[in-house]
Amino acid sequence: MSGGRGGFPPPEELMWVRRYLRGGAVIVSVSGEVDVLTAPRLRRELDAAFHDAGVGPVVVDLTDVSFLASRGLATLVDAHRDASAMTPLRVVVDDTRPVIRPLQLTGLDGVLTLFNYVEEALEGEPEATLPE
Amino acid sequence: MPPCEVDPEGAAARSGPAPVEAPLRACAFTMPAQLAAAWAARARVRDWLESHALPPALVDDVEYVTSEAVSNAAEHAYAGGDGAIEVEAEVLALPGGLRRVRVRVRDHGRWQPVNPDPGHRGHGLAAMVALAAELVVRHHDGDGTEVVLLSAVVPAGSTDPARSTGPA
Repeated sequence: MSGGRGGFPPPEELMWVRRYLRGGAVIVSVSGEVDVLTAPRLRRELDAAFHDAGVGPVVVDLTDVSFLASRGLATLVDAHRDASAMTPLRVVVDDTRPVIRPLQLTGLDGVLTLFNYVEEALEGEPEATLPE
Repeated sequence: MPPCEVDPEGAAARSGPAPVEAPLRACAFTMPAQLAAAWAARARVRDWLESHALPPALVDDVEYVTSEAVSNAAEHAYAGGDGAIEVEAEVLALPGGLRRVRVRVRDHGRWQPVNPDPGHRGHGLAAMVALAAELVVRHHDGDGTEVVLLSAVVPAGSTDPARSTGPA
């Protein structure tokens, strides 16, 4: 575990982000854990995505995320506020419990626009069904 | 990941006069108050809880609340200076063959609401309150903060992922 402070791994080893264009849309594909340490980097990637997007959504793919802390929720909410009708924010989730539960407990599943697949997020429909 | 220290006698002494709740095992460690401590704490607590054959849903919930409490301490307790965060997790044996988990997160700093951002603090607190059966936050005047969470109660030795018993 070299490169991090205090013997901890550096944030680059805990969360990876890949950002790429699909037409006018930008897909931000996230892997790993989004928490107080790594969420600021996700914020920067989302800012860049809104900057790069043409007429099309910013799609945040969280299906490879294993943990979504409250700081990650706040980052998504901030991005949701930055979104517009021309560049909406769409979030893709699967049934990973440490991602779904926080969204449900905080009511953000009713605030964010959620999808189960990137392709459906790009289309804008159908919206996600979440596990109970 | 280094193993937790198992200190059942020490934990029992600290628990005080609570004969109905007997700590079966305790896991205690201290970390520097850095943002990565949240990751380290939840990894250690998760590994330790999984070794006790607790339901996965319970492990998820305890891991989440522990992570939030450690994150708060790392961000706010020492205002950029050096400090330490103590974490202690215990599996408690209850009457009737039941178990629950108790986790204490302790810092000795002074919480400074440097930038009152109700955004993520609000979500973090909401999640902690929803996921813990009981949550206590104690401010020790001039000596930091202690967060104690008690999990839902589950049958001993159960790994049934379906619905652990919620708060009474």
